[in-house]
Amino acid sequence: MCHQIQERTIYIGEKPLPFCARDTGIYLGIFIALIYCICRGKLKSDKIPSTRTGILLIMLTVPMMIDAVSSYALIRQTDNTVRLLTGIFFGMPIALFLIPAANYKVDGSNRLKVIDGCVDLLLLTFINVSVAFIILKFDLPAWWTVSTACLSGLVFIISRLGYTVIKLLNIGNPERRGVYSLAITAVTFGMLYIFKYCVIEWIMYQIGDLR
Amino acid sequence: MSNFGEEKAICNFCGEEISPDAKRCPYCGSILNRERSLSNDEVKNKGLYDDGSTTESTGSYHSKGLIDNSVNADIENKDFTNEQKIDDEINKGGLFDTNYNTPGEEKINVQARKEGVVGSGTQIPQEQIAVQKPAVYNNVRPMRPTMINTPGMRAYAKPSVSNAMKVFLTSLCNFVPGLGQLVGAIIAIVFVNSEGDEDKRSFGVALLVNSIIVFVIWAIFCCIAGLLIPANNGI
Repeated sequence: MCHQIQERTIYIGEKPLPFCARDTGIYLGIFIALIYCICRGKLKSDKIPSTRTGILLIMLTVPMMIDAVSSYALIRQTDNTVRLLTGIFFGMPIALFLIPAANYKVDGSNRLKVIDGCVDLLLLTFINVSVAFIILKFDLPAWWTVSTACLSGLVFIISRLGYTVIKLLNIGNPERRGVYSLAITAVTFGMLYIFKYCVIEWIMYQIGDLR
Repeated sequence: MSNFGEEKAICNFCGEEISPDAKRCPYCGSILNRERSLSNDEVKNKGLYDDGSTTESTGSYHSKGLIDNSVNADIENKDFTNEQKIDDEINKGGLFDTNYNTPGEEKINVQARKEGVVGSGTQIPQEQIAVQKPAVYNNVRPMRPTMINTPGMRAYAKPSVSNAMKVFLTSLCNFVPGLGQLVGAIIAIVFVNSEGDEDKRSFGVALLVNSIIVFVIWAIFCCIAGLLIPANNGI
């Protein structure tokens, strides 16, 4: 799920993180939002944020898109700090939308909101910025802590997407949806592994030839 | 009783008037599962019997002349199907409460207990069940649930977002990278938060999940495309 280019990777101590700066931000944002929901008992929330909060959350994803597109189009240069921060703000809303989407009931009987309002959103934003700041400016967190958090965010987002799709399509035995989503996650990782060695490696080889 | 032959039912799906015994709607072709809709609670709430109870004493049958064989035969011939459905419900133990006894039946129970037939109201003699069963011959029968006001029916009758609009929004969300997913997610949130419209909410949550999935796919695609540009070592 990442190109893992060394120049775009954050180092903790002497070790590079397993993902590039932007992807580290995305998966870290997902992980922090997940932990926040667990701590506040919102993991089983079934109510999507209100329209105003929802649009604010979606607007948080725009900076990363602008940063990615502008650097992709060679309009401007970016650095790892911007990549990490914009990535964190991109990952956070994804988790906050996916958690209630799976539990959402169309009959309107949803009660537990995933995020209560702008105060909750500000608090979560503050936590995210603080974590980014600690990772960038201090070598305080151990390498394995940040790596595990990013990997957990990646596993969560894939399994949650699988779970949500299974639930929306009402496939299989409802009591085994957790098992199905884990199976989907395992298959996805296997396919990505094959994809990396069959497609990405080939692309990189061709690019090496061109240069 | 004379209205039995003229009675019409309403299709749960299209709202057209159909034959009460029809198993499939001739207008929309939907399979009608009336046995399921005749739930115990519905029958009790709508009043299966005149006196509002779920059982009827033997005396009332005699007073209304409902034990008369000719009347019974008439009912059986005209509405055998419905009666069979109610009998099935009774056999499942749904339509009358075995713990509730009218005064007449209580006398039978007391006598039976003296004879040691019934133990603390848990067993009911076959005669008593036979007495309770003819209650279905009463003229007042359970109302057929029309389901016109069910959420599914409302959604069918009044779609607030047309299919063309749904197709357009889904296409926009799927084929325009980045911006399409943003617009799709915003529209999805507005739909999901709309009050009193299940069709919109259902489409909204599907559009939201679709937007996220498509965005991930586009991100992977852009990442690979970025690798192909020689001056660009990935996005």
